[in-house]
Amino acid sequence: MHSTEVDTLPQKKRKTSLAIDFKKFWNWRSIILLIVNLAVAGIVLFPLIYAISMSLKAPSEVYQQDASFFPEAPVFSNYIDVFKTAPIATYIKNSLIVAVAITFSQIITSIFAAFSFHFLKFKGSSVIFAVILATMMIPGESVIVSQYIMVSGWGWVDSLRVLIIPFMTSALGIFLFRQALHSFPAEIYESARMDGCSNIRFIITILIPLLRPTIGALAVQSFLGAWNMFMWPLLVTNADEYRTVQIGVSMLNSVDSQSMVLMLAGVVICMVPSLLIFIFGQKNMIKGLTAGSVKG
Amino acid sequence: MANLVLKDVSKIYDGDVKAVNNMNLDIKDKEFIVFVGPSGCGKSTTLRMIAGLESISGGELFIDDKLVNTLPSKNRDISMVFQNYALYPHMTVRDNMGFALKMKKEPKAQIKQKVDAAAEILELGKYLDRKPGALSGGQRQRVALGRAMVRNPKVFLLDEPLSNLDAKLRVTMRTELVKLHRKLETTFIYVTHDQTEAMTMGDRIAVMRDGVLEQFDTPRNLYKNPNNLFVGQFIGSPQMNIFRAKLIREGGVHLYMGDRKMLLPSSVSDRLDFKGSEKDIYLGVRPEHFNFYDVNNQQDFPLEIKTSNVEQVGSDTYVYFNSVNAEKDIVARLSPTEEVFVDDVIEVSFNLENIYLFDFDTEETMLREEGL
Repeated sequence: MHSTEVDTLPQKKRKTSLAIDFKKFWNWRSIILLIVNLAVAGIVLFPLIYAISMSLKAPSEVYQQDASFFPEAPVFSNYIDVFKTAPIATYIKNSLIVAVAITFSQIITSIFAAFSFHFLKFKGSSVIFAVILATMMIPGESVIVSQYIMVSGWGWVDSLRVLIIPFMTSALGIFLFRQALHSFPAEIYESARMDGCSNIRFIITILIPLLRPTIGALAVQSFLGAWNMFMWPLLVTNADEYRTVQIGVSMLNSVDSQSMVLMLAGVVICMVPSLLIFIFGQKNMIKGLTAGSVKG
Repeated sequence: MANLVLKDVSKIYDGDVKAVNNMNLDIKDKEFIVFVGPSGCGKSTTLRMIAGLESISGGELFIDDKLVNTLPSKNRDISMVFQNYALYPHMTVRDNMGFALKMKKEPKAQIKQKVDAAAEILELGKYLDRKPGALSGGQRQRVALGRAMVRNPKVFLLDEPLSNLDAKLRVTMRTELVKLHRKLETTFIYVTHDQTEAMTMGDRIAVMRDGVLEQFDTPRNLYKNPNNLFVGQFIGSPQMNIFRAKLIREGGVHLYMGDRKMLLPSSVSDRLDFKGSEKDIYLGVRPEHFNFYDVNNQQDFPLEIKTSNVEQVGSDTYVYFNSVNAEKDIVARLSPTEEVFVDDVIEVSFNLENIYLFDFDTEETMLREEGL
């Protein structure tokens, strides 16, 4: 085939000069904005900074009247002692298992459900979708007792499955993926069908790679939700073997083993995974949550 | 390579919306067929029914004499090129082109060989490791064609594949597609709303309107012998001018328009399906059949006009004017040898040998095909 067209490839953007126009940058508006931002960040981050600072203090320093905000001599042993006081390692392991399992299962089930709602035509699909969305409006606390009675009837109490299975799908996830699919060209699905691609293969080979930003958003959301879960694990687990880190940390504050510095060291430890997930996933989270909201 | 037959094929949405109504087509092996018509005429729906992407509400579809109404798309041995190319954006050109073969579980070496062969024909060799995002519109279009080619299908379906390209590239790709059709010797079915594309590419053209096949014929025949007013106006650019006129039998058959009457030449009256003594008709005159009036041309019907707009395109001059006998502006394509300006009063004429006559009530043609 003879081609006479000029191959017009997208031109790489020219590198902009690294030199900063200080006059432009340091105008009054930017300075005020910067001060306001720093103040807000300071207020928001204060509990975190306070927790880190306290966790590095010696137990005796905490109750001194003239104690400074920052530790006089940072004591890292609190982070070792907290593992001796309570089985924090087991709690972290349990939380990781639960959070990772919930994250994966929510992504998979939500993609499959959203795919069905978007691409497969079946009677009552919009009604079922509306019912799923309606579940988002029901506060979890209002059904927690009936859920507890149900799982305890099945003998699931005090197990990891009771922490995972009830959260294996997410109405928010289904909604997010369905919104993302609204801007997904239907021709790609049709083309794949003509190429002999099955629905499951299409999801795995084509849909999942193309929905990465939304998957990222849901992954962050699900992981943080699962990691920070408190009420449900408190209700359905009693043995240390199955407790998650949030419950474990709260137990450090029990009457017989009260130690502020140890508890705060535990708090800092249990914050690390969620902070890491947020730091690495925040771009995707913003991209995914706003996907489909504007024409682009 | 395959023949394709549509027998009374219909598509009905929501119980009563007929998108395609009793479509009958007999497409021969290796033909280049074009479905053309205005938006919403059912051309893409028909193509999608052939592809298996839409269910068939009524009638029968045969590919190579095999009834395929309920056969899934992947088993119909057809390939489709979509309007927006539908390339997989996260895969390289090579992976895009080889995807269907991978689904068929063909050996890797064979896939590579077929992809390389298609890439060579389409001059895509150096782009095989790029992703679609790094290609121009024309290159993406060729990748979409290549993806269809590697499967070596019985039928190629193309759904307005050139509509996303700029005008210049569209003309180039039009020629390339015709050449590709000759090279592949496969049945091509091409959908477009652009009559120029249809006329330049198709061996035969199916003109559709409101889900109904108006005419299925060669480009030449559609131009020379349109079945009805719609086809007459749809085919040709600028489109055919329509006047309200009368036929009156006074000895011979005369054409009356305004206050002037002229005897129809025998080449027209012999083909005329007109029994009565008087009839209202639509008179069709193509812009290219207008000339500057020459008194020596006895067969020319003269019109004194005042130009409302003049377009000089170098090779021709398009002159627009109003007529009391026409609802829309009339356009005449005249020779650029004489200069014409807006608001000039000039005399133009059209040769009565080249007119089209349509029944005023049914809008069907009143002229039998030449040579029949």
